[in-house]
Amino acid sequence: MNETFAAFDAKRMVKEIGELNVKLLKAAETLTEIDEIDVGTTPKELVFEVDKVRLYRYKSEKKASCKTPVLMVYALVNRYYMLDLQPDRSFVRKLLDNGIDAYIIDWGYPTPADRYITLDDYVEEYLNDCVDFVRETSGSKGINLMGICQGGTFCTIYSALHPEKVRNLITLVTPIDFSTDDALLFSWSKHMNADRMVDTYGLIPGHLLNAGFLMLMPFTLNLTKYMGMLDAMQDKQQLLNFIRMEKWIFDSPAQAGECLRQFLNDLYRDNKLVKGELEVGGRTVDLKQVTMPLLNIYAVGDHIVPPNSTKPLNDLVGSKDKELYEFKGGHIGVFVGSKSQKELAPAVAEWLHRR
Amino acid sequence: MGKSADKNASVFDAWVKSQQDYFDTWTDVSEKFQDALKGMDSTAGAVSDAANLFGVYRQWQETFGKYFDGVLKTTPLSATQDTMSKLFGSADTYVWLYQFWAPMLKALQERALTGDAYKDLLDPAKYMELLNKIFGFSSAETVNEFVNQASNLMETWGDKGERLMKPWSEAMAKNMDALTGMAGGDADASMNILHNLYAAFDSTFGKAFKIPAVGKDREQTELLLKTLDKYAVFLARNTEYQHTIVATGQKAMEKVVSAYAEKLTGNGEVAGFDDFFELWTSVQEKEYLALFRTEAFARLQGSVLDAALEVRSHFYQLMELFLSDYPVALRSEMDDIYKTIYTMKKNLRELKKLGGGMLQMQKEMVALKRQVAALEEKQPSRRAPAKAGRPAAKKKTVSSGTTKKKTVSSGKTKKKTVSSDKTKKKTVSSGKPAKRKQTRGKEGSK
Repeated sequence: MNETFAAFDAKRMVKEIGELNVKLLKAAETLTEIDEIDVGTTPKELVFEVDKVRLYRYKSEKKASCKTPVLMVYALVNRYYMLDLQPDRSFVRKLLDNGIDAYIIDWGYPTPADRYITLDDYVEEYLNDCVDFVRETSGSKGINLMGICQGGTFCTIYSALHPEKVRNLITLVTPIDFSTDDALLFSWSKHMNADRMVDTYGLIPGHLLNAGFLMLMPFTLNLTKYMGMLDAMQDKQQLLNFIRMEKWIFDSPAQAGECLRQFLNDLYRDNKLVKGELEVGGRTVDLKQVTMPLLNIYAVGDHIVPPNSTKPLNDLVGSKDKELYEFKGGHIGVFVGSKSQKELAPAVAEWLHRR
Repeated sequence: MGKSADKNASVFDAWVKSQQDYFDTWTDVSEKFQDALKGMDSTAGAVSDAANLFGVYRQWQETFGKYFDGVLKTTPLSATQDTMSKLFGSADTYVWLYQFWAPMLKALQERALTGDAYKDLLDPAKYMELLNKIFGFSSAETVNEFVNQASNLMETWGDKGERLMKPWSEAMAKNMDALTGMAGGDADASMNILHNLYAAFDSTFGKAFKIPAVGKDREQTELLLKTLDKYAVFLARNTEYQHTIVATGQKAMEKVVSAYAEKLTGNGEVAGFDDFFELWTSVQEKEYLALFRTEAFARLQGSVLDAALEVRSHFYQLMELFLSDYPVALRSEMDDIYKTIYTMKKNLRELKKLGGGMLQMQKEMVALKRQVAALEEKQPSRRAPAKAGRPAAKKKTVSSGTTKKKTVSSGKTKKKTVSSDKTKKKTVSSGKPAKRKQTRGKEGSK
């Protein structure tokens, strides 16, 4: 039999626990030295705002070589600065370095007064206003639209309703087909009473959605993540990287109830977008009206938006020029991983330059 | 903050040294303890021995954790505070696991882990506590507290409050024992929990609910009873949910034991508790993911959430009733205002769009009129031939954006055409996206 630690050797147990606690002490000490958690540090300028929605334009020392700007649209459920988490893990910086003129929408932090904002409002009012602003500023008839996750769903819907305003469409890890049960969120949400949740809360608190996300991998996300970081936590830089991610994970805005009701009922539960039954702004969303070039990126190891939800978009649109890009990583890795920096961002820039 | 960091550094150095000394002392004591343990019954003594050693550690960790909490309160960074608290929580869970598994691992090594010995060694209360930490289940104390408070409320409103709540308190006491049995794998225990709750309900609210309430507090009483009814339903569903989680955890435990035994007898190595911890978490995660993927679990989770939302919704209504006599804005009143504001904003946007559209149309009409006027000037005018003694028809054109055409012919017909549209130079900033900031909310730019 192998020599094991479990000989109820008190000395060995004390040694192990002692080592654990020394690491804990050092990690705690390093934590107290953190003065500031800087995220989203790429310089940008506020160029437009309406209600709580803000539109930023990123500043770059390098002149944009791609004539048509890109408007990046993140999801509502998390903050946009994930795309610019830190200087060496910034999808935005990579795009700027590759000659892209980039704008981004900050949806803000909804308050109880925003509980009645609908999906229609987000797409047809806020997103449309931002698109019109970028069109007018750049003098472009159609702009490049890049949507991430739920933001990609919004961009796809918008492109179907206003194809004349969108020159090229890029979707990253975007849920389109909600009939798949490959991810827990998809199977769980079918049994969720969205109406009761919205009627009770009005404005859905961010921590409620977070609790759901943590349940997707309870042991990893609540336990082993922290234990695994104990060694790295003694290095201030590594600890800062960890804390930036922690800040983003738990910085979840509340959700406007009516928009979430629509999203859960019409999309997650009834899958209306794929069936051609989704109505937004009084019009039916027909994905065949998406005729502009499409770059659809999915992550192979995505446990939140599985590939089977993202990939069908290419078969549903009317675009002739369309590409499916496989990224070997997870849902978050697609924007912060080193592979994303080295491969994906340049690939996106190059695709845009060619169009 | 830099100065406080320096001050903390020296404090930490002192702390680290004192902890080193502490552990050295603990090691000596443990060695002596170890000697005393030799020759004892290997399984019977294990649980209490582990409890002694880990109990000492636990006290240390609690004290130190409180110290760090105090230090971190000086920093405004909530992300740092949260991370610290989760770090300590995880370390606490890690040690709980160590304490929980120590006796069983010892028995495994000594090949004394039989089916019966396994059940004896498994400390269900500790196991429940472990799962509570990971899944964040509320404890039975919370339930008791709620029931006690509800009882107080009922006493305030009715003299029969105590008699109404007594069966519930008794049911909760029975359920505490049943929970322990449930964690120990007793299949009947969870059914007993449900039975106790429903029996209490039947003998109290079940009867009370059928009697129409009377008096000035009728509405409040009915709502309170409804809320308590909903809470009972939530408790029942939550119990079933917790039972499912615990049962899966037990199944996972058995797989961990098998996997570990395989490593002991095979070529695998478990060099330290870290390795065992990794094995434990990976097996647990796998088992729970398999459970989460089932339709039955999704349905159960949905029903628990639904029941919880019902309780919350009734609770909010109750609070509104309580607060209705006070000079505070109620949530339903605020919702009315929010709805009005939302509708007004939407209407305003529509009007602005309309206004923008009309402005555009007006511009186009003016441009069209200018074109017409320019064309008319180029073309020879079509005038009636001048008759003797009569002046030729005069055409008068007023050009200041206003086209006023007045044609007077020889006294017979007077046609007067006045164009009513006037071009006014008006700058309207609505309906179009602003080049600069168009704020209807906060001012200011970054």
